[in-house]
Amino acid sequence: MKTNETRNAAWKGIALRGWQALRQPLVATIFGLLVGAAVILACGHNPIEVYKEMFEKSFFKPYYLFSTLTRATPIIICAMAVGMSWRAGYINLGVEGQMVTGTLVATVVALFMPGPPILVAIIAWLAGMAAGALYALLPSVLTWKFNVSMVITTLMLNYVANYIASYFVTYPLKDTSGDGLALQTPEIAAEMRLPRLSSTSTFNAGFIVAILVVVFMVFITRKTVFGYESKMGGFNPSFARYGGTKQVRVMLITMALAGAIASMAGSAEVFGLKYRYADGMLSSTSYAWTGLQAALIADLDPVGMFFISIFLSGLQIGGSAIQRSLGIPLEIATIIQCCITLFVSVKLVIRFVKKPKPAASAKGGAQA
Amino acid sequence: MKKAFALFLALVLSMSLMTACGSKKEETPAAAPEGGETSGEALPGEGMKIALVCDKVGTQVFLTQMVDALNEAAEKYGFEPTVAECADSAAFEDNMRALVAEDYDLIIGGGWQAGDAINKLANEYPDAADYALIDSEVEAENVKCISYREQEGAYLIGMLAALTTDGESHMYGAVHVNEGPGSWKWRYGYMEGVKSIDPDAQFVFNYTASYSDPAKAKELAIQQYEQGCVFINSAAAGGDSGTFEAAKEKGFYTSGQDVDLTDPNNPYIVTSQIKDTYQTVWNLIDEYFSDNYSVENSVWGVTEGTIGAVYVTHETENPRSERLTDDEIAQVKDAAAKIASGELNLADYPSEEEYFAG
Repeated sequence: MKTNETRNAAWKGIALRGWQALRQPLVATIFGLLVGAAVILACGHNPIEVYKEMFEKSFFKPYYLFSTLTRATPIIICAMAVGMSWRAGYINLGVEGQMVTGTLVATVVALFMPGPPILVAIIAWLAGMAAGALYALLPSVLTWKFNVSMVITTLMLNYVANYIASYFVTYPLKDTSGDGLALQTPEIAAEMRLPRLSSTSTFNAGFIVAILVVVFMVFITRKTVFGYESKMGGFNPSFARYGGTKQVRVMLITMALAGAIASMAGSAEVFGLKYRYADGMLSSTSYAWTGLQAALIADLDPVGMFFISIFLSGLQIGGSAIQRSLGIPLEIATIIQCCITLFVSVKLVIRFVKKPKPAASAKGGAQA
Repeated sequence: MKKAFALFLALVLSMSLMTACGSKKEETPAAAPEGGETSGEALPGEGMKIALVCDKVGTQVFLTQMVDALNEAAEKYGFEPTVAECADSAAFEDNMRALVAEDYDLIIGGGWQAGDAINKLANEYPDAADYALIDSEVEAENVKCISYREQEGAYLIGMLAALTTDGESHMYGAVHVNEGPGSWKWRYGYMEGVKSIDPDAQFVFNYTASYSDPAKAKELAIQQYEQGCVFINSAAAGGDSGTFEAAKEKGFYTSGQDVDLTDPNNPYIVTSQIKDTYQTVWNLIDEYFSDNYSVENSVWGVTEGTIGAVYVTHETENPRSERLTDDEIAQVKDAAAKIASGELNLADYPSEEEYFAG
């Protein structure tokens, strides 16, 4: 009886959190849809038809739902990397660079290391995480030793990572099969790839990795001393110092974890979807920035970030679906997506209708 | 109160979705018979769906031509055309998978950016659709890859270059992207074309190493000009505008590639090599609906009307440079006719090593 009750309570908790995370996007989506409708009308299309197509081909039909989840995988993991560092008060804009570095290293290990494929794959993931963590430590050390603004160093190191990766896929690692025009590495061995979870689409075990990362985040933030220390450092650095946390240690561990998580986003993409590293595959798709957006909309709450990442990914999938099947230029599809995203980002909407509450009950992490 | 409000809004949304289901079903059959009425009989492509997957179309002439051809061909054959524009590198595969899931008959990849995705899909779903790829080659055998004999167009450009220069200098320049086999086709054709008029010609080639670096292209073009080049062919993709700017500043002559880049405001762009994607898509679809369609790779050139040069095989509204007379144009047209008839064979060309060894 009692276990049943706790289980029910747990489910209720999850449902409530999901609802809390989705409530604001839902209201915002409606406002966004209304503004988008004006754009669609101005272009001479029927808004209802366009929207029906957009949501049907992103959330409601199984095939497209799987596409949405597939695209959401790296976004979710990036959001967690952002959340990890931001909640500790470190404005890490370098998730993209950490992801690119880690992914490139993971791909290289997977391509060149001899040994049983499963073992190589595991080592590749770990090597990628180590590389991502080291790349995230670079700006942290600069902040620690020279008090350089982390916003600038992390942002700038994105370009460094992207250009270095570009060099490697253009020259030493380039796949010369076919006509050799595309800048990409050869494919990794079939045994190392993550298994597909659906026969018709590319939905793969990377999504499970993403869920594990979310669970890990929830665990770290709620159940560990480190999670508490890093959160306090974010809320009030002076208090945290007074309370006796070793801030440098917390910063280094936080950033290293963020970098390691970021690299998993790219590894999931390479091992689950693309099977190779191609130039610009992680930057042109803006996974890190969409993840950042999701993290900020969800107030850095891991469960909220999970749902909002899926929602934002669905908007992108739906956007290309309406372009494809209704012949709407991609630019217009992007405007509609942006209208919705913009309103989702505006927290004012919900604060406006929300009565002020004691802060502790609204923030899930505070009880931990 | 607030929850009720949100619920109400959600309800309105779902209602509107439901009404949308109804309205679409009525519209689709109404649109279909239109094609049938005009022809009086069933068109060969009735009920078929053909999709073009490409980069963002925007104002890229290379792609707008493909879209135009696809839509016009759709009117002739009665199939349902779709253009899937891809915003980022992941979208190519996403879109193509969706097209396969939506039972498309022919999926055309427009440009090398689509190559990797189409290769993957063709391996994974060999029977789900027919695949074709324009301007690139991939390994999958069930993809019909259409590439071009660019050297034929470059040959025409080379002739025009020599005729524009009129012996003022024997140095000829060109700014390319990469020094690979792709660029060799162009360089070979260009050099042969120039030498057919000016046997004493010497060449300078430089490479921007980027598909979009106008600043570097401009710098290289100016260096070539300082070395005495009067004509500098630009084959630097997105960097071409840099070469053109340098031409206007320094007063040397230049030419573009892929589409008509002649410009009434810049008389120094004397011609442009044409890679006619409009004709390519038409040829491809004509072949698809004919009886002898095969997935064998094709290489098209001047003969097929897919490769050419502005003022020679393709007309333009922009005025011709004063440096080119009617006689000279006639001379190049004659060469184009020879290439088309096969009298002048550029299809088989030596490798770079062979060329310079011999």
